[in-house]
Amino acid sequence: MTFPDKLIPEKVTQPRQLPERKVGMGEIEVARGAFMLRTLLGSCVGLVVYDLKNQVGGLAHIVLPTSNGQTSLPGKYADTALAELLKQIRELGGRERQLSAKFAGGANMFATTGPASIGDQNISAVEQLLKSAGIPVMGRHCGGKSGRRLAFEVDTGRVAIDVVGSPTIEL
Amino acid sequence: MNSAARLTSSQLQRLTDAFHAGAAAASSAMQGWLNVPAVISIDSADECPLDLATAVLSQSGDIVGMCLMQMEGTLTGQMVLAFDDLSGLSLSDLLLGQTPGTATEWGEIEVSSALESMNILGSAYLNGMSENLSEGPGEPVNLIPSPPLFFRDFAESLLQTAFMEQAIAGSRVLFARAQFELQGRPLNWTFLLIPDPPSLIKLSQILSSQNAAGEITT
Repeated sequence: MTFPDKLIPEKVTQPRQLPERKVGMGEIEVARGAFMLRTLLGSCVGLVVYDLKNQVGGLAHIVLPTSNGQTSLPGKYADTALAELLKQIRELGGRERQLSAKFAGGANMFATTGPASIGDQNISAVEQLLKSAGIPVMGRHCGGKSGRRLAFEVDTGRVAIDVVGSPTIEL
Repeated sequence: MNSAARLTSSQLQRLTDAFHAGAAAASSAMQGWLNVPAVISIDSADECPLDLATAVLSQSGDIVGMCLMQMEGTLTGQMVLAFDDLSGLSLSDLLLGQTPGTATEWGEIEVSSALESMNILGSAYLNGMSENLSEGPGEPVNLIPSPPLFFRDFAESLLQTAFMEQAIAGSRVLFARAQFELQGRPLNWTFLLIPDPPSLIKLSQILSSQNAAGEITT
C-alpha cells in the first residue's frame, strides 16, 4: 500500500485508555483534558485542531469540501466545519494563536466507481482552509485506497491512525 | 436527501414490495448455487440519517469483507454484500465442500467464491426487482449488474463511500437491507441496495404511476 503524502510519520504507539466519544459523519466534537475522540474514515477527512497548552481540542468528520451556503450540518462541509470547530474550541478555553492541526482520510476506496475525486477534494479543501486560517499542520495521513480509524488524545495532541493490515501510526 | 426524491409512505411500501420480489428471486438463485436451502428476506427498506446508515454493519470499528456491484440501466446505484471474516469464509467452505472452518484467510479461491456468489445474488435480485417495477404499460425497468469487486476494510469506512452519492445530495439516505438464512440458520451476511440520487427521483416517478397492486395507472 502506498500513501502519496510526504509527511508519513514513523512512530508507533498504543493509545491510552481514556473516556471517549465517537464522532460520526458530519459531526463535530470538542473536549478538554484527558479525553479521546474517535472516528472512522473512508473518503471523508477527520480534521483535528488543538491547543496543547490549554489541553483543548476538537475533531470534525468532514464529508464534502464545500457547503455552497448550506448551514444545517456545519461539520459535514470543510468550510463550515473549520469555522464551527474553531468557535467551539474558543468556547472551551482554547486560544486561536496556539492552535495546531492534524488531519487524515480522503481515501479513494472504490477506485473505479462513484465520485472518485471526493477524497482528494476534501484533502485540498482542508489544506487550503488551514493555510488561510494560519493554523500549522503538524501531521497528516491521507489518500490511498484504504479506510482509517483515527483516535485523538485531546490533552497530548496525539493522533493514532489504524489501517487494516498495517501497524498503528502516530501523527 | 434532496426533497424532490423523498418517497411517500405508500411509495416506500411499493418499493419494499419490489425489494421483496428481488429477495425472493435471489433466494431461489442462491439455493441453486449453494445446493442447500437458502432464504434471503428483506429486513427493512429504510430512509434514515446518513450517520445511522453507515452504522448498519458495525458501530465499533469492525473489519468486514464486502462485495460491491454497480446497478446500471433505468436505475443506478450500488449493491453490497457484507460479512465478517468467519461468515464470509464459511461460504467458501460450503462451496468447496470443505468442513466449516477449513478456510482461515482471504486467498484467491475464497475471494473468488465470494465474488461469484455476489454475482449470482445481485443479478437475481435485480431481475426480481425489475419484474416488479414498470416505467409504463409493457415497459419493465431495465436493471443491469456490473462485475463485482471485493474489499476488506472497516465497515463504516466502506459504507461511507457506498453512501457518498446520496450524502452529496442530502443528509438522509434510502437503502434496502436483507438478511440471510442458510439451512435454517441465520447467517451474519448483510445485503444492501443503495440507489443513487437520480434513481431516487426516477423511483419516485415510477412508483407514482404504479398503483398498490403494481399496475400502471395512466
